[in-house]
Amino acid sequence: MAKVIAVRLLSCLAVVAGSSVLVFCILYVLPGDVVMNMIDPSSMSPEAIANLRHELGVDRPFYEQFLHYFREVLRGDFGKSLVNSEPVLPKIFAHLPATLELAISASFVSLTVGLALGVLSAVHRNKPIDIAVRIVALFGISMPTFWSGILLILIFSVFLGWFPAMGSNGWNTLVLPALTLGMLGAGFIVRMVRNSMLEVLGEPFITTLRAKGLAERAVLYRHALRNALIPGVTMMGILAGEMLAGTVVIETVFSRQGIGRIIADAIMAKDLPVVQGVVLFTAIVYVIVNALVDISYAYIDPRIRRLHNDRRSGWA
Amino acid sequence: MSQLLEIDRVSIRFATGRGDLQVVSDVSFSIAAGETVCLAGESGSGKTVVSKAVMRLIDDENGKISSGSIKLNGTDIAALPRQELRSIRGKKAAMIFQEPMTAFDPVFTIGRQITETIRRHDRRITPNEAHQRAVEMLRRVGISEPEQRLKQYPGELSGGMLQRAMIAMALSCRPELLIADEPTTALDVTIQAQILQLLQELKNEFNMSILLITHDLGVAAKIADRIVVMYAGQVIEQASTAELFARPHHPYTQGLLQSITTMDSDRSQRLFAIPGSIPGHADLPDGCRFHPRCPYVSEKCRSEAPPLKDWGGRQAACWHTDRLIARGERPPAFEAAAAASSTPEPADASAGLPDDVLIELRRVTKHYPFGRSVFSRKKGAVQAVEDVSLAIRRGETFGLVGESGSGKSTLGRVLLHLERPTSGSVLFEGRELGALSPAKLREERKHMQMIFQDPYGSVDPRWKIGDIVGEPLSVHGRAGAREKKEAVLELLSLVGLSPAAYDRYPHEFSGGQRQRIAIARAVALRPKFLLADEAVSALDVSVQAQIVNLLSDLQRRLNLTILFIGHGLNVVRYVSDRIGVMYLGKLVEIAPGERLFRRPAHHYTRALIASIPTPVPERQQDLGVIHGEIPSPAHPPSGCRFRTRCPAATARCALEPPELREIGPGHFVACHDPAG
Amino acid sequence: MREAASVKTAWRTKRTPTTLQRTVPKIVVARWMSLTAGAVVLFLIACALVPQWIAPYSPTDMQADRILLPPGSAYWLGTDYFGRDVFSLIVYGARESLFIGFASVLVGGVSGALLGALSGYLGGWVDSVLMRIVDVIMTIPGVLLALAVAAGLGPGLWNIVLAVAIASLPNYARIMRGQILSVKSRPFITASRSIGASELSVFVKHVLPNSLSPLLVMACIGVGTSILTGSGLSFLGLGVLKEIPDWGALLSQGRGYLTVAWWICTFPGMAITLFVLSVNVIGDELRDALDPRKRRE
Repeated sequence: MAKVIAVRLLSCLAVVAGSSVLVFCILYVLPGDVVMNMIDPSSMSPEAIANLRHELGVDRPFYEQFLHYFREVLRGDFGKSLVNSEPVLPKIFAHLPATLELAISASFVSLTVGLALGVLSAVHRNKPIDIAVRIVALFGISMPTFWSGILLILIFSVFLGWFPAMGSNGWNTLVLPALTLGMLGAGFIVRMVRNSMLEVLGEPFITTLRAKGLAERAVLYRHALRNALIPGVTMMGILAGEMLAGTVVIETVFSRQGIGRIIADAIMAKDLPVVQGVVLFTAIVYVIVNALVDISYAYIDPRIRRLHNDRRSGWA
Repeated sequence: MSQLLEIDRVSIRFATGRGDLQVVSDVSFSIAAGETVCLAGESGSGKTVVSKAVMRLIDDENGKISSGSIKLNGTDIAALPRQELRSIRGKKAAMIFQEPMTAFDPVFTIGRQITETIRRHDRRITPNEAHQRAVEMLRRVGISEPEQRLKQYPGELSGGMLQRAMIAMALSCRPELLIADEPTTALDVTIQAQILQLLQELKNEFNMSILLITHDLGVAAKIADRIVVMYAGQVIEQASTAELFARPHHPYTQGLLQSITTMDSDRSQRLFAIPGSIPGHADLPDGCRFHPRCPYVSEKCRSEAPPLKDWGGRQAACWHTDRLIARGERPPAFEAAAAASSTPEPADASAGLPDDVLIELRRVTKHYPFGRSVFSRKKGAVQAVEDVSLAIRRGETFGLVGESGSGKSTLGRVLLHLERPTSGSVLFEGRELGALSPAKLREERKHMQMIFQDPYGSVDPRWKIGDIVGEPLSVHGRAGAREKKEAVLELLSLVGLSPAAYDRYPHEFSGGQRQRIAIARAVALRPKFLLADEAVSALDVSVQAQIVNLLSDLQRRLNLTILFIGHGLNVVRYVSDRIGVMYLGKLVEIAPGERLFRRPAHHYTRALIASIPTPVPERQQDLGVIHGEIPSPAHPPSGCRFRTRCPAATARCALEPPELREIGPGHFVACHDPAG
Repeated sequence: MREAASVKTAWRTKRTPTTLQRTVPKIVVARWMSLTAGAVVLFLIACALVPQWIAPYSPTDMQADRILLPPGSAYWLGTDYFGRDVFSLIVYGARESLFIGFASVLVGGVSGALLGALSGYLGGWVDSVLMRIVDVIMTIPGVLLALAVAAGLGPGLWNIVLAVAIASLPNYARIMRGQILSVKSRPFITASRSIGASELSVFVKHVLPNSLSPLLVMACIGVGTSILTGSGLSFLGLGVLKEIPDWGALLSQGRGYLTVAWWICTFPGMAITLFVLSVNVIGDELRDALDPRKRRE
């Protein structure tokens, strides 16, 4: 097991290095003049623009730019804001709690609602309850979060006045954003769980279990669900990514002070180093979450675990 | 005898997306305590559905028993509420399945799944006691180190081992009835023999009845007391095993018995084949459901369905049973069996032929390396084919047999250079294939073609039949569109398909017809050599005979040289002039076909031949069961690879790998101490 | 197992007159849903192509006397703060929104599929390198990646298309690669090779056509995802400010009036939802229709 983890961590580092290259490329290699995108050319003198170029280092050769950037990242320096020269990383850490709060509670909503409805749907396949759940799930994945968020604000803040429409302090400011993001995740999970449940229920071993005289409850929840959830564990990684990315929009809609908000504001202010820093940070978090998911996956599924054990009995 | 299971006029329907489908009609039969009854039939006969209906497992597949009753010990299962049904399942009646690999839940240990069953039916048993009983059961079914096995996951055990564990699980609550649905179909013959013998022993020991579902009348002959034959959802005949084989009362049974290739099938005669194929459940013919394929068909058969009629303790559903009996026709298998012992050994015609070699393998080895990545601890190679030399003569049919994992299919692919050998060379008409440029090799492929096992997978589902069959012609740039179409139509008629097939798609054809399509394509360029890799293994018995006949016809007409790879020994014997036996990547014996079967020299060959179930009840002797299973080709035993399972192994066998040496005319064996 | 398969296939040849009742609602609902979905998609495509035939007013027509009117008989979906008709705005906004959706799927799908096909078919180091690149791209969640690309490229319709396309590319590449790998191992490929067909012709005539169907499903659903991403970018202000805003921008502009005029935000969002929902329904239907397990032999 230790070896599996070691191997996974190594590849993790490689991927993170890769993502930093990618983030660098996105902003400095793609066509389009970064500096011109950042500023309003008419409001600055050519000298000021040249100064800015120099400050950003974009006047240096490409490889030098890259090496410089990479070195800084390794040192933990994710860049400075153009607007107020604030370093990015501390700013991210300052805003992290609000985002984590949101992402975790939204994941919780997604998982509980998604699992329950997904199983319900698969078990009552093609009955009215299944059809209803599937339609709800379709809505979940089809509604843009900026719209469903606004709808919730409209209903629960403007009309009913139950929850505040904005802010990031206190549990009651968390309810609506978590629901908004949670609905999206729940939609995905319902569809995933339903599909894999149905697939598992079609496997021959389910017949064996029934032939043994097991109660339907045991067949469904002890055996089928467990089999169905194993591929679902990898979905957790993807879900984590969706949740992180989703915060950008949600935090804008609900005016929450999270890292999603940092990036949204940076985009409005054309503050590219900040955008770059936040994207890289998210990528790193995402890679770590996925590595954890992979490791736990290997732990949960005996079929995968076996691959790492002795191969002696693996053939035949 | 009291009846344990009574199935009375049962019909079964399935709800499908487009309506209701009756799959089983009016089936009646019974099983006495301690009796083994075999439900025999080809695919689509409804036999599996009946077996699942006994425990109402069809309920969960949108099926239901629409009429009739199924009484187990007097309790009508068809009318039982689900709660009570569950206390019968696994307790009074238990079931084992065709694919042991998929019949266990992959994410629980074997032990957990067995103890779960035990405790489900007796809650007073403590987990510890249940564990003890599981250990005993595993030991009883012949699994070594049971404690260890209980902790393993299904994916870690071999198919044969899993089927044993499945039997242990099924018997753990001491059921009165064991339902075995094709329990050995997915296993190799030597393992099949082991499992069948185990079932026999356990039946007596546990004093239970067995309902065995099988398509293989050989298996049925081996262990059944009585046989019920199904066709298109109906019972068409039932009789005691001896009576059924001696004197079939239904033309279908008769045909089925005749079309089985046995050890004694006369190679000079065409195999008997029932024409046509089994109808689907949705388009059953009127009257007798067998009438479109029946040689005895009359007007009455077309309009009126024959009832199951009593014939002195046995039953048959045919208007013409009296004619069948009056004629006194006996299936040829029997006549041949009677004659077999007296016929002198025929002179081996092929042994004296001049060596006009078409294809030659020189010390061919094929390894598949694994664990090459930087991080893996173990490196090694699956030694699929190890140092095989072989020459196939022009015009002969060479048969290659072996169990799964023996490397026979790999050898075939290497021979056609679809895969490059790790070492050694392949010579086709003296030219070394490995030395040819890719373009030259493609050119050479004109002369060597291949037919695959899976008739569903070997044709592109998006292509029309005309294009599939014509593909070789286009690839090798023959002729214009019209000539091509003519050539394709000619090929279609050559393999017995109608010209209408030209514009149709593969999914409109049955397995047997698709195999004909594949054959038509393979012979399109008039090749010199044809590789038939398990070409009939996936087909029903009655269709198998049709395809074997077609292949032998084509061989004569087109003067083909054929390498016939198979695991069905009888079929291989019937088609082949010479036969090679492979075990774990090694060629262990080569001999002219007849000689190999009469005087097998390698102990593995002997075991293989002894494992074949013969569809002749009287000839059931004790099986020459060899123990254990084929080891992993990644870690083959030292010396002789068969020594771990060989009854005659000595110390020398572990040290020194035996070389092939000639022990008779054209008879080679790789064994230090060959038998007889 | 064999028999179960033949049970499933048998009903294809002939329909039995009796239908079991519990299967009826499923068929009816499925039919009803995909028909509606098709109608919605067709209507919105018509809006994008010929808005002038559908919209009752000009989207740029501002009138002071009809500011912030609630939905009613004259202005079905109300008016906004400039006195523009919301319904007409949505109809005209369809063009840009749908363009982003379709164009980015085309760009991302085609290039992703090509990469995936190359990777899967060639295997070896090409495969390793391409797939590692895809792995890296996938470390950045789609929306965020699109955001970063759009921020780097600056505003512009094509830039948004490119951003969304790049973000969706890895998915197409992965699916295509997986498909190619599975098709490559099927016997009919070996069969074709064994008759001497060249690698290229095997690839073009057999591998490719048999690999495309899941990609089709993904592209269909991808149009929806792309519209969500694209309108999300607009919503965050990365779009182009134009006279006729797309749906995302429309929604973003309406946010400020949420408390006084709920309809400005609600209806563009509903248009997005309806369209995405519809392509999802069609995608699901397509998946079922193309699933080899569901229409076996």
